[in-house]
Amino acid sequence: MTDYGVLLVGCKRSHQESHAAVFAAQPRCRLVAVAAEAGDPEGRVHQYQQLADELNLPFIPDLDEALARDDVHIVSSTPAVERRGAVAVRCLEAGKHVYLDKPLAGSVEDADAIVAASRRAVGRAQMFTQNEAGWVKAARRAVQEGRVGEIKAVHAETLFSKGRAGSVPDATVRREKESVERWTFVEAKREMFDVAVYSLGFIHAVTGLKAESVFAHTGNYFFAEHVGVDVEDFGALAMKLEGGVTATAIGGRFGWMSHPKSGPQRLVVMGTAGTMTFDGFHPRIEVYNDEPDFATPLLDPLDPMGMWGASNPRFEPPPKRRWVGPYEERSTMAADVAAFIDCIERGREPQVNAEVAASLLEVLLAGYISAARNEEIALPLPRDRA
Amino acid sequence: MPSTGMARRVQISVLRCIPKRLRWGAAQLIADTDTAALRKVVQAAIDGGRIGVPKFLRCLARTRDRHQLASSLDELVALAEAWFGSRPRQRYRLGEEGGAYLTELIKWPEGQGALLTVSLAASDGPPALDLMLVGSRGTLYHDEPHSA
Repeated sequence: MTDYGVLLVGCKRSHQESHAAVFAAQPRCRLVAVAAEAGDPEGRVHQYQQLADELNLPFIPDLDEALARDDVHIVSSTPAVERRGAVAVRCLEAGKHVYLDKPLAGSVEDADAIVAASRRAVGRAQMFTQNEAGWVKAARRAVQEGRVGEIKAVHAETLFSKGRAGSVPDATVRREKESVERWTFVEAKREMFDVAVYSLGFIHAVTGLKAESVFAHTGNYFFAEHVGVDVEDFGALAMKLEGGVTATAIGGRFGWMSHPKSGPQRLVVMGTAGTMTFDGFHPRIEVYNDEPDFATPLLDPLDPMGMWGASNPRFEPPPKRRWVGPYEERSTMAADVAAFIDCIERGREPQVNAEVAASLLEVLLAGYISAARNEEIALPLPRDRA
Repeated sequence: MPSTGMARRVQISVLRCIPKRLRWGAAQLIADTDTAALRKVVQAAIDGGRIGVPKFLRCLARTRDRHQLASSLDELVALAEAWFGSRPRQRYRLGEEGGAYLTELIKWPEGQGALLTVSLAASDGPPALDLMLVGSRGTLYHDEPHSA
């Protein structure tokens, strides 16, 4: 089969904007429709309609009706974090393949439900990561070829250089909370949750190991917006993995001007034969000339952190052109989607399937507990937590 | 100035014999980096307000000597204390002296944090100090040679 119908369950100002573009450009796929859950539990049905209108697709305001269609084979699922569990379970139970936004969900209960549904399902499930990036695959090859010897520890980092940093009130000291009651805001996101998940994906790509404990730290270092809704803009995690291996990870958003490109992406693998570093921006060329340097873009009132596409062309950030990577025109998400479709066609389990995605989520949730208590938290988390 | 790896290792081992409080100002090396000079230039950037308030230090050092992991890590902690202007309230350590690496995730009472790692360089790879000091409105980098 070379023509997969793709249903988009997501709206404007969500990652569905980029998912839709990638699926539309994938030669083995065609977009079918945009759908939302009946009853509009997210309260933003107009943004679902808006995305459908922009893509010239039909909008179906009832997910079950959309899932009943025979021309839907794959669901690109990017609802609000709070709805990810319910939506993914229904898509899997309807027999569809599901490409999931990251992180998997907002609770271990939702993650468990997705994992259970995926085990029963005929369709495949894969969560988006950046593990298909060439530099991550190079790290995996180096480990497989034994170039670091026996792997002992891994460090991974992902930071996004977006948003206007420097607005955080003086003397702000983050007091983390053990449980998260709300994930979705217009002006800010939980950045350890949303960005460190990539770093955890990198660690899984090179080790294939689950975490057994987590010690974490969160901060409000840069943005008044994050302080205003009491979410962190930065997080760091230290983990004990299976087999005595350890890992550390960083994730956050630290401002438009804090990096020459989109932000650091790095993987350091430490083994008995030495340490190897892999970097998303190495190798590169650097170009210095009389072109204007990148400057902080105008503040987009509908997206102050630059999380989505600009709401108006005048808010579009200019490109950062000083560093140029030889492969930067290649889309990591396009490679990830292509790998997902390969798995569907070859009957193979995706590397970041629902179970792996759930394990990464559990590290993040344990990280919040650790940061709140200032103590190491054992995994798996108890299932009777509220 | 170019020097042989052997000469560098000798210099480091001599420095370990000197009490830390007397060492600032002298030529100090972690992973072949003159940390006294580094400390000074970073402090100047901080004092000049170029990154705002220092918030998080990530440092990855590579050394050839597995028995200098702890002393090198202590040097990195000292750098963080200097740039944050206070002592940490909590240190969480992974790894062990004589192994392949030592790592600490460290918290300060004023909210700052640090993730510091010293690990073994490959037998044919260079020592290196890869540093990222994240401030409230900017970030400072001291990069390392890459292995891939």
